[in-house]
Amino acid sequence: MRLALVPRTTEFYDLFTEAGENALETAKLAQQRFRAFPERTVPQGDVKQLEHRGDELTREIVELLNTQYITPFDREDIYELAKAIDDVVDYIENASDLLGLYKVEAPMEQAVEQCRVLVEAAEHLSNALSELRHLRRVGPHVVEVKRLEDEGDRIVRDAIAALFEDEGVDPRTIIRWKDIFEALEDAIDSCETAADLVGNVVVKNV
Amino acid sequence: MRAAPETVQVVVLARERASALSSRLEELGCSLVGVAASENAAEHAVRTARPDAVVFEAGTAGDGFLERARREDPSCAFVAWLASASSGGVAEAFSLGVDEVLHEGMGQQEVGARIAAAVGRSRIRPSRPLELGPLRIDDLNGEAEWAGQDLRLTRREREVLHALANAAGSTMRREVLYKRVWGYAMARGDRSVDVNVKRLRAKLAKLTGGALEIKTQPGIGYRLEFVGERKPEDAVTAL
Repeated sequence: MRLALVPRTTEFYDLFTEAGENALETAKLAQQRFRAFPERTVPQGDVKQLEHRGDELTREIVELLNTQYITPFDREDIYELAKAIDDVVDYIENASDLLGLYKVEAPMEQAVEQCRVLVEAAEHLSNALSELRHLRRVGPHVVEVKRLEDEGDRIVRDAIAALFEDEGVDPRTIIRWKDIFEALEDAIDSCETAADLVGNVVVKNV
Repeated sequence: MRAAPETVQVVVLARERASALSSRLEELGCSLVGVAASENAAEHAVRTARPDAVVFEAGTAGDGFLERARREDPSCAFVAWLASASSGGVAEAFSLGVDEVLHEGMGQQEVGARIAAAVGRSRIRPSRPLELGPLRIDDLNGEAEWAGQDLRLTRREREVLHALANAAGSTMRREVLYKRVWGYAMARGDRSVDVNVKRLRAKLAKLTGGALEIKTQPGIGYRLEFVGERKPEDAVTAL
């Protein structure tokens, strides 16, 4: 593979922006699906399509990385960040998939609340990624994702506690919802992981 | 399926309205649908209020009562209450065909557990169709009709409607409704009842022309109401 000497840094920023927007779109779609379930107004196939788009964007970033001699910031950071954004979409798709897989009858209120936090976290991550080229504007978004991750932690703890408050709850309900709560929590956590990487890039390059 | 005492609806057949039996059941948290003073009143209660169990004082029910009452609702549990424990008394009660025998000497925990177990065993028996005016629900055959027209309900929707119809126009708490239909305690935040009621409302509005409505009591639960002229003649009333 030949390395290009003419820098194409703008393309990296554009791809990261698009990957962030795709993550946000996936979170919004999953939120709609959770709110409406069991009505199939948002089929899982639509969420899956966005996950495929996320895979494509990751591949495009890695390919660009492999062909560029000069990169806007450390190669390792670019690779890690691309993977982290891909993880966000993967985790969201997985949580959304569990609704159908586990034959959920109706959403739990706590899961809908987790989705709200997830969308807000994805929105700040997306904003941070779109501002990556202007490094100084990224900070407040990273801080906000961290705050939302803390809020997500509180919600998931309360949600899991709710499953065990009464000994008479159907064990199947406990199994399916504990998994779904944790899958949504993984998605929120992954936003924080990606936001942390963006924060590190800022610290190294300002 | 095991039921918690606090979700069990009970009719008491006793000589006096304010009996020690009623007090003990209330202390357990059972929902007392009413106190019947005669076999006829108890049979009427089984037919209209559809309790989970009838608990009757020994000597208040004669030959044929259980057979007649069971015809009204095969899924109702019949529990005899003895003033004192004696092998002869227990054996006699069981020979009448009761599902369980309790006596005054039992602790509250045991009474609650035995009632819950009897209700659980009885629920396995198929119930006969419920008919309230134009509304007919037959769980055994999976049918729900309004004036002979199929309401096209899912199993859950039909069971929710059945439970609300059984509640005799009174409000059912979400948790009790969940327990009755799903057979388990409702986890905090579970919206299964609300989602099924929402869908049920849409179907009832379309197919009954608004004659049968599910009303919300905010923060508490739901109740079924007949609206307009098509109220059932055999309306469920308090005992």
